[in-house]
Amino acid sequence: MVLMTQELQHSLEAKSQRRLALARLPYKEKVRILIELQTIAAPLLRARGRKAIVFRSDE
Amino acid sequence: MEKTFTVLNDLVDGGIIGQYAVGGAMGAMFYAEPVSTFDLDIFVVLPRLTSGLITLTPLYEHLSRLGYIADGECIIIEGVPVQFLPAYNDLVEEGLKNAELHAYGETSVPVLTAEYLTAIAIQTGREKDRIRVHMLRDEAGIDYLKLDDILLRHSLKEKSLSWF
Repeated sequence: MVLMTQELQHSLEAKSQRRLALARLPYKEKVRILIELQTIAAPLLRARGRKAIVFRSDE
Repeated sequence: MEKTFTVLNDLVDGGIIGQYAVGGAMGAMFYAEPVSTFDLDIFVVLPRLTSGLITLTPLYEHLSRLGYIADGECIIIEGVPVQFLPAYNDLVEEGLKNAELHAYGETSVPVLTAEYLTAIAIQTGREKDRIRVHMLRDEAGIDYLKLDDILLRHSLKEKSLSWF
């Protein structure tokens, strides 16, 4: 059995809460975050020869 | 993105497609945290040709006339790569029939429910589907009675045991 320190337990709990908070965001806000993620990942994927089109923003 | 959904709704209104629902990562995002993806998976019911065949050609031709360009397995609609996936088995067909409407701005968007997204991911069975199932399990508030019913009816119950 692996024993966790209180600090680690707290950190995992905080991570889980953060994910739940992200899941509860309005879809439009999630799409905005997705476009940010795509903007970061696209050049790396293209450098590896993979196609990556960043979605057109609603704004 | 809202314009993309408007075009998809117009396809239904114009009889070009029978019905559609958002699936895949973009579908899961209606219920869970955002994750990186580069296409919008659209499950679709297509009208049968007189020969009984189902083909994406009339849909692609229609979209091409509207000025949207095919790119690999996707077609770019209002700046969003859309992959159309004809309902390929009973589970997907049932998922489409039970899709729920979600609001995206002023536009209504049919989306597969979290339970059908989970069952389809289990059936598809790739590593990224396993990650999606875990995300939906932790974040989507899955109705396990509904999910169990779907898994049993589509012979996925046993397979699902190693997925939760």
